[in-house]
Amino acid sequence: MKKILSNKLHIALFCAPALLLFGGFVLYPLLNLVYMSFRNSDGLSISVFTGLRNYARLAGDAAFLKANASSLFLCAFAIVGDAVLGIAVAILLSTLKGPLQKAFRIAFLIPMVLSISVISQLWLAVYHAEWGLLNSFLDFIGLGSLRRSWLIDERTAMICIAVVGMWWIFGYIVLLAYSGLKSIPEQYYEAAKIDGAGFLTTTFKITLPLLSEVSKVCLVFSAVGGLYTFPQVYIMTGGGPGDLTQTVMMYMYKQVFSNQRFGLGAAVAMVAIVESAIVIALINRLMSRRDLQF
Amino acid sequence: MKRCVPKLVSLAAVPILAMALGSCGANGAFGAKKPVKLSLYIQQSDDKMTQAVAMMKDEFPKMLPGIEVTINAIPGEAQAFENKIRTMIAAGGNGLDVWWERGGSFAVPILQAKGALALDDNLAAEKFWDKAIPSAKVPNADGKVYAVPFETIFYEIMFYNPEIFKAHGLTPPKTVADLKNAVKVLKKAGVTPIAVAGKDGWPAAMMVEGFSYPKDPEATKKVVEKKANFSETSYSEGAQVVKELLELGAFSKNVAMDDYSTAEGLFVSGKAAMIANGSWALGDYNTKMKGNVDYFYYPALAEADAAKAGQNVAGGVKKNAGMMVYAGSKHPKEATKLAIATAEVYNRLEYEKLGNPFIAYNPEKIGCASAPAFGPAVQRFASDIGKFQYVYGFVQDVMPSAAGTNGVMEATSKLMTNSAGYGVKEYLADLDKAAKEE
Repeated sequence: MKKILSNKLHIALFCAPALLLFGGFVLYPLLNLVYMSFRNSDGLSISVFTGLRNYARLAGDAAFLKANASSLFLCAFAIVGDAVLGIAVAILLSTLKGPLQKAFRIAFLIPMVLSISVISQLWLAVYHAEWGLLNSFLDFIGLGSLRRSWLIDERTAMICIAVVGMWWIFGYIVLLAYSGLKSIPEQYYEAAKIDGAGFLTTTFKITLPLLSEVSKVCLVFSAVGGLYTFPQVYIMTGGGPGDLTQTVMMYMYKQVFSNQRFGLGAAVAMVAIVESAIVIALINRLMSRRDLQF
Repeated sequence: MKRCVPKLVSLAAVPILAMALGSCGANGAFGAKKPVKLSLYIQQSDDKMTQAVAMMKDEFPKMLPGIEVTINAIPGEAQAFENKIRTMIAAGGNGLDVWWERGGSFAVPILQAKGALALDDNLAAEKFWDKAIPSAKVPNADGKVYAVPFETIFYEIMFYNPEIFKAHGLTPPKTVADLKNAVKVLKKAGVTPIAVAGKDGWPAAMMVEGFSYPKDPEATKKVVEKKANFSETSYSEGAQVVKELLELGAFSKNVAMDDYSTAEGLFVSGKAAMIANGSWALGDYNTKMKGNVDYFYYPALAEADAAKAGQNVAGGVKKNAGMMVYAGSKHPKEATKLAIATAEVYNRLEYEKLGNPFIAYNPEKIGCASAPAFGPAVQRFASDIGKFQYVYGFVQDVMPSAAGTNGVMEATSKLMTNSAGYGVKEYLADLDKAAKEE
């Protein structure tokens, strides 16, 4: 093996297929995106160089700024609602035993195996202003005064969208965290128990530190998923009514496919990429691993 | 030499046989011509289009001998379908010959990129204009025709359920005050007064336009020709009427999230007493509601103008809408024939089976079997069309840019939320912004 890896030609040959795929499907589109973001194109005619005009336009577009703020809200919501809550639920789940634990695990995983189209239709029925499940439930428990047009009210529309995303991806985060928990050696917990450590102490001193790498993955998945929220918005509201539920991805979709502004859409994508890179860097910095000694 | 002759004959026979077999392969069995293969793309928007596609499958082999058509019926909304066509053209148009183009601002980038074939010569060769009605010929700004008329001719009107109106002692409103009164009565009786697809934006935009028409029918035209902003025209009054109707609870609580099929469902099922829609639905509603449907024109703002309602109506034939032929099609003549056949089959379906006489063709000349018994409302509307004094396209069809069209639809959808922070002033500002989009 050492002999093979010492030969640079062999290394190049082994890497070539993956590199070609990476170059063709990741690197080239990314570079093309950068190129397109400085141009004006309707996707059919020859594009024209416009310098920083697309970026300047975005900076002055209230609709984009609103969509961006909504996406950052979804990102924060996903970090708390998916990653943090998901890890917490996974820890609690690991304390359960037997069929109850299995039942909960299956229950959390069901939304994950459903198509987002089905999930979106289901939640549309939940949120419907007249006959929706949520309003009916509020009536049933005597809180009929809280009834509202959930997806039409600007105070609740974006939260409703966030909940759909959370419900969809929550099981995945729980599964990921649960797998991480199962890889922690049982001896640590036994030793802690002998030392008289309670549930909270073992959680904060053993579980969470040893789960930090998995937690980081959960946080990154949730944050990027929240920032790039699109399918449920597209299916449920189309970004509307008006721009009430417009996210950055929905804004980009509309600019490219509805308004035929491919250059502007590329600039939006660039901003989203930079934002997600910043968010990932922040998560990495916050979760940077410290040496652990037990 | 003698021994060589059979060998030479055999050798000579090989290429001759090969050529003969080759020609059989090229032209079909023993000289029959190989069929021209064409691809047709249609947006399967509703049940009507499903019927049309089934009818096309039956009719094309008879109407288009020597042409083998692959029908690609794409389900989904118009925007997604347009995206697919544009992407196909941008990718070189492989496998695209004929498609249903919705026209208006949708067609602008396709024509700018020279993606569609000018059909004037091919249509003349097919003597096409002998079959179509004169008003169906709407050339592009360059004077050329790029689309074979496909959709029926329509105008923006409001439909109502005569049984519900009669049960509550109501008559079709002539003024906005009459309409508001009807809304109050129906609301009190627990009936949703008006159904409209607020989520889609355009039906609600048609409503704003409809209410602004009786005062100034040229309002939309002035904006399109950049002679005025929306806020300087009668759109301000039209938007005000819609806002007041929202305040009165004239629509379902979910109106801003109601899409086209939901709104139609409310009306056809009798849950809503009125619906804002285009006249294309008249025949369909007449069939589905067993004749219990009628229409009225957008009522006038003032009592003094009540008689003017229905004189000026938005609608007509859309520019660059219909069956288009891809400029790079390998068989442009055959593709034009396919475009014509597609339009004829669809219009026959509308006329013969759906009871819609407002087709862009002379029924006898496209082979319509017989004139069906049109409902009384349909017959009355057919006679009304000839009395319209001024007609101009729907606002969503005539905006100069796709971004402008989307801006109008998005703003109107937002207006339908009836939120406190989004009133007529904010709505008109958004419309003005949309009009300036390029």
